[in-house]
Amino acid sequence: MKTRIKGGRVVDPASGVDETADVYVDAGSIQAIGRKPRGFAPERTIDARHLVVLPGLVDLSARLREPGAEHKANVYSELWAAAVNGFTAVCLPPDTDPPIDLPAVVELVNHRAERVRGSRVLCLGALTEGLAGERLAEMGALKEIGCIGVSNALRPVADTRVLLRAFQYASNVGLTVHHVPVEAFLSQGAGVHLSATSLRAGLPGEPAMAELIETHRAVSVAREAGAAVHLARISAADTAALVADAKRRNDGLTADVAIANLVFTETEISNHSGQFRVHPPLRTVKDRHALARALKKGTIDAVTSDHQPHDLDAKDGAFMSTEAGLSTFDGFLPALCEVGRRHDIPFATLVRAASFLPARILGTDGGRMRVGGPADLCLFDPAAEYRFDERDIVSRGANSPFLGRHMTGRVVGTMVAGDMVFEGPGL
Amino acid sequence: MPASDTQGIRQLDGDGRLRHFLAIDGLPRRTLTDILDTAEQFVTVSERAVKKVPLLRGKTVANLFFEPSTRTRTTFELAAKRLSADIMNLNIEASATRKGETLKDTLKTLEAMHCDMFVVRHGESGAPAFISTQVAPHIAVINAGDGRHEHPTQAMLDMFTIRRHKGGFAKLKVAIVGDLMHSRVARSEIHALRTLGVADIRVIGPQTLVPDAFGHLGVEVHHDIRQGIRECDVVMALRLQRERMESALLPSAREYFRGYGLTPETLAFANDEAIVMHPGPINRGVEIDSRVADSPRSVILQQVSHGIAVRMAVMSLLAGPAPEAAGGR
Repeated sequence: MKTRIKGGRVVDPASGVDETADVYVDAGSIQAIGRKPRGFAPERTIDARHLVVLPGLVDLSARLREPGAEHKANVYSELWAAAVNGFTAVCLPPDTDPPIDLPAVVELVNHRAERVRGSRVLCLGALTEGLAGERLAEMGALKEIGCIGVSNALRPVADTRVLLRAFQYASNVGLTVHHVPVEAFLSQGAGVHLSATSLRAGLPGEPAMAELIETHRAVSVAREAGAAVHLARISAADTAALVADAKRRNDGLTADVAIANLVFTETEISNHSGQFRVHPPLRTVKDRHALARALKKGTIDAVTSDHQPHDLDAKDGAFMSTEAGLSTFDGFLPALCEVGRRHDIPFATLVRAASFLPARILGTDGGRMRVGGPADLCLFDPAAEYRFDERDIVSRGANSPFLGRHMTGRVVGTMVAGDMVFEGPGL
Repeated sequence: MPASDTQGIRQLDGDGRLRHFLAIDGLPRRTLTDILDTAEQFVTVSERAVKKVPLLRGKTVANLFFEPSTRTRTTFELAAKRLSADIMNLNIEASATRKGETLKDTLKTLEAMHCDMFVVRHGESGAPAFISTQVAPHIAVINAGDGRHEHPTQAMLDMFTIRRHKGGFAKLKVAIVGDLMHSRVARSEIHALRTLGVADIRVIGPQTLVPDAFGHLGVEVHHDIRQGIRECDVVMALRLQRERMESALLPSAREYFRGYGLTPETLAFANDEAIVMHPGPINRGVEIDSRVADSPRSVILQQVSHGIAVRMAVMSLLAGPAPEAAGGR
């Protein structure tokens, strides 16, 4: 449908554009930004005055819970929730059940996704068979079926020989490894950041040092293997410092941070609230500040929701019997804006970290507004003020950390491939 | 539960009265001294021929022990009986959880039995607090030990014992020796001592069991017992569990005893009038030498007997009317 998005503030970090302009869409792609193309007769005009027009957000990590945990959520519910929150593409980690170590699982996810009017989905394949950290997964086949990278998700690869060979093989096949820096032994049995807070609460903690040494190991192995590695979810100040240094010597090294680690700290667990149990754990105020600064400087390239929806029972109980993970699609963009205000990070940097750079890390054509490129857009009302509550939850996940929080800004519309898949009441 | 509304569980009601007894951390000094003063009155009860007072008559107290324990459970049972309450003992670890029932469902079944008070021991930090949010508002929950978090009644009976022997808390030098890392008792003791005004607290043990981070709790960390115990008026030894040797935290019980056992030689560095305490059960030849355990300086058996009075005090403050009514009904 020929669509004209009229009068919005267009912010496209990839091209540096930040100005009021009209956007013209047809046949799934952007036809023009600014001047109306000759002979373009819009069948529909969307009034975007007072709104910001952004590239659709691209999420580096979101659990859709299918296959394997459909009682929590599913592809349908979560790709819809993603779209409602401004995401036009999300990346699924391979720790489904069964894991994505077979092309058939990718086909299953794609088949389910086809029937949803919502965000696109991209899959990460497994690095090792069954994510067990012992045998290599068939990364060639996984690439062929459409995986845009490989990962061992939250399962550590303890044997460094295996890690090295897996990185070499991935590089050979031409896939980026998304490495979550979980140290195999120090993290065992831990649920929170090790500190005076965890000591006082009597909860088992893992030291920040664990993430640091695992990051160092991964970066060194990547250098040896000539592999492109993306560090998935760093959470500590020391890790950020290491990444800044390693980027000078590793080609193609990138890193992301989860929104939760930019917003919250370990104080959330001091009363044993399982609502805030997550990997990587929430750390100190100093860590949060360092992560925000690293994002501002570009040491950390991207911000992910790291969306992990859970059913009520999973989060209901004494801390160590709850499951880890936060449901973070809902409220993602306003929370990111809050981070920007608090840590003085320009809006364009935030948008870049949530759209263009993730797309580049995934090797896809999203995250920007290019004439001729896919019309994946997010319409954002920056002025909406409200208290985030159950009505703002679209995901099946009962575990949003933002409940009760004052928010400024709301996604009011999302376009995927030229189709307005979501239109909120504000549009 | 909305994240921004969780300020932690409120143990005190709007009038400052105790609703639940879950943790020493966060309670005002006044509450702790109320417990100690009330316990004084109940010591007298225990020494009478007829050991009962009717304070909790008609009320039901349920012992929910998710971890095995004979002595703590028995003292709570005795305390409840001496207050004339009816007691229900539920050995949860033996039944429901083995069958996979969630904590929440176990509680729902129990609520149907109309208890007034739950005494809970659980392997997970925060479990009794969680339970207190799940039960009906009139039900009081007492933490009989949760994971590595707190064991508040143990701390109170230890404070009671200290007060009886030393008169007060100001100017005391107290040492806690042993596996603080894994000890809920230690955390409660530290909070209680600090709240009651003890400024000089030393924690002593090897770095694997007593990390320097403990300094954040307002105590001095020592890895050399002879330094740490210097001039102390109270020395508390903590129990060392066999598992610690398996997890590369200690080489052997023998080494531990050599470095940190309470022997007459080590105690010589403490104050001449120092009392020796232990929450029990003791491991002779590991935490404590028999010559010390059986000496007049050891108040270990008194701790046990004070346990009943202190638990009676806590229960009565939670459920019954003021102790002045004790003789009258």
